[in-house]
Amino acid sequence: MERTNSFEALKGHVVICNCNEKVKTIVEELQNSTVQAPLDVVLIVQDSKLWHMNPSWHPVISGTARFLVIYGRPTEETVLKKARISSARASIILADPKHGKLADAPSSLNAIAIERANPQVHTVMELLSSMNRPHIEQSEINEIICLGEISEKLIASSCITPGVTNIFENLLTTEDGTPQIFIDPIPQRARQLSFRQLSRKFILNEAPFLLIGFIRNLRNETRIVINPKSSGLISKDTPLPGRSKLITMGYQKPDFLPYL
Amino acid sequence: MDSKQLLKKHSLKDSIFELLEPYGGKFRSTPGSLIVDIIIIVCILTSCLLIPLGYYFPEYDSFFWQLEFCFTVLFCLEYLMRWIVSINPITYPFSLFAIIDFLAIMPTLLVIHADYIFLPFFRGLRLLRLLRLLKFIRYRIFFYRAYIGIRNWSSALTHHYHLRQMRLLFLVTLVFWILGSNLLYFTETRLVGNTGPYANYWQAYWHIIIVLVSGIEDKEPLSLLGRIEVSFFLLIGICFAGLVTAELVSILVKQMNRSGKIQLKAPSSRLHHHIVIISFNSHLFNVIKQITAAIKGRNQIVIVSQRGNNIKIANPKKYKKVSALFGDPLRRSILKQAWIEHASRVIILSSDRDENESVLEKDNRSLMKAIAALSFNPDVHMTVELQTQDSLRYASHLAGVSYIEAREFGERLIGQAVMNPGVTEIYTSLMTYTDDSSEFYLIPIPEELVGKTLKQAQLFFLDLDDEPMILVGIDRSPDQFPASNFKLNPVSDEDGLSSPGAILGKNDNLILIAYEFPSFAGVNQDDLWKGRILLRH
Repeated sequence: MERTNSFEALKGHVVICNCNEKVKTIVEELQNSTVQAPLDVVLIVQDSKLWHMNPSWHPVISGTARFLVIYGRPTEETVLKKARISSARASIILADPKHGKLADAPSSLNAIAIERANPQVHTVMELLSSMNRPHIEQSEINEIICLGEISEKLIASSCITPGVTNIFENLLTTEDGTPQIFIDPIPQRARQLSFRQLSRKFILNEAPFLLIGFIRNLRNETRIVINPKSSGLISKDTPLPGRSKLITMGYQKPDFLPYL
Repeated sequence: MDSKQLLKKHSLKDSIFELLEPYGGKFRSTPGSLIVDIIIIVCILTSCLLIPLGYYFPEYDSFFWQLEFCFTVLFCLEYLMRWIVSINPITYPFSLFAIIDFLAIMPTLLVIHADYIFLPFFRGLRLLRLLRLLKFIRYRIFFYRAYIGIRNWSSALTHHYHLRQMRLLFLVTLVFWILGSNLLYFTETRLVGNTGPYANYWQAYWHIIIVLVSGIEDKEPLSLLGRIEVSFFLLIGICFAGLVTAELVSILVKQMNRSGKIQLKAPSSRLHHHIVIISFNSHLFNVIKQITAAIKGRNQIVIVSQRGNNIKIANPKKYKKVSALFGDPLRRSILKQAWIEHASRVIILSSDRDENESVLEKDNRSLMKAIAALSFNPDVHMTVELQTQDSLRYASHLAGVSYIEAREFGERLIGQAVMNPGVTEIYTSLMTYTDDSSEFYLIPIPEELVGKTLKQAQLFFLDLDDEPMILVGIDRSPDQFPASNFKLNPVSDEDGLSSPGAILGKNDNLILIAYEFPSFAGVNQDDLWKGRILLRH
């Protein structure tokens, strides 16, 4: 259950706005991650009655990380200040069940308020209707997750390649012994090396992670390249510049240097 | 090991091999293969047609002979090409199809040397050219598909344009026409002799058809009995014209009502290797969009729903291969009409018809539909959308069924998006089927990699430039339950999948990230034919 701790010492924490049935799993995932240090979580609850009426939404806190609850509107500056949004690492804006199917609008406004309070914070918003995605993508919100879209894509993937959902499930879970996908900046020593060269090095040096792609800028546009082709503007032989990021699959956050 | 060894198969020789193979019967069949099939089939039919033509029109014999000579040259070329590109050129001439191909050219080759052949035997040899028809055995799948296609097309036409009713109407009219013409002819010739308009037998037919079709009297009979008979046929004609007009109006109204909606499946149309989507919810259109993008419209999609007759679509062109079946998916007659026993895949969406229903009730309904579908086709791969994880506790007893509970994935993805910013786009890309994105594929291990280490296999795929792919894991699941025992990026000794020294066995499946189903994957023809594998090519 929630612990009463000072908000003052919060840094690099996660702020969750609104409460719904997903709070429990998300908080537990963030605090029980096997690949990185548990994260402190601050939950901003608008409707305290709703929160107290649903004990099944309350996460079980077992580790050293803190879970703090603030009652108030996530759009209010004072509430965000209290949640120490300026020093937060990320913010998750969940759909408020009070607004039903129309929760996307208040969620977007919450996200915009957070982005204004701290443009550096990584905002992740839960979207209910995929139809609203193009509008929200125009804002500063970093990541938009629509359960409906995930469902559609997984159903189609499972239909084409039976069993593929198990692979995604395996990748998405943070339990011990399951791999995850990581995105990390390219180390200085690896700059100007191509995907093929880097992959070869990692395979030959028996790295515990797999290089599956990279992110790089091309003509002021960020391009995500998974499984690069051998030809084209960005291929597996194109040298990766300094600002590129490597996409890997592994059990721990990758440490590239020993394998270069 | 040369990493390009695997793709080396796709040399000119293999391209010719694929081109000569019957379309659809072989993995990665190209449209060129279809064109070659059609050309050969037309040539076989035309060359066989030359035999009766030669008998009926002996004056053109030399022209027919020239044509026959051309066809024989073509079949000889085909025979030689097949021999050259065959997997084993030594045993090829003794294979069934090679013998048939040889029999197809042999009679003409013998006729060319007819100087040494006894004349009656020479004529018999000409008839032997009909052996060419045996070549059709090779194209049995093509003919079967064409038969199914024509049958479905005709049943759709019959259903949409009320052809059955129209046919009956025309049959009744035909009977009345023949009956009326003969009756009037005999009545008039017996009673007034050869002077009236109905005195000529064929003229009687003309007058009666005018009466029947237009409902207007064309020529007046001279006898009283004839006039009574014509009056009767006039009444029949009025009824007939009315019925035809009513049917035409009904077709037009139906067409107007159905415009902008998914076409209904004709009751008698037969489906094979199709995808059945049971129930309707807001995900339906995007699921269809994804599947169509993945399989490039190769397979028909049938939606079975109680809202099947009213599914509105914005762009009918995109739904050409999609049809709907109206009815309760829990009724066996409806599932039978969907040909579920011949379906390649079944998707059960969580119906949102009753908003007051709890998530558990919705899941129970979906699971009942899954049980109903499995009772028809226990081997089909099924994907069921669930609303709550609670249902999974008992749903998991249904073997071979994949369950999608989006909330579970969403919660985990939100968590990962915080820990690894940007990761949602990676997952989205891996879940989306487009020509420019990679997805996960499970393929049987190529023979060349059996006995190699995982490290060697990874290097092998890294250098496979024609088809970029990354080996990310090993799957050691039983065939009927794919990805139930697998390891992604194996690093530990768990399950005997240690990296990088894990030795790949012949029963292993590889988990790859690729743009398309790898062309070298050893696809079981039986799986392909039975629709267990959905190809993207």
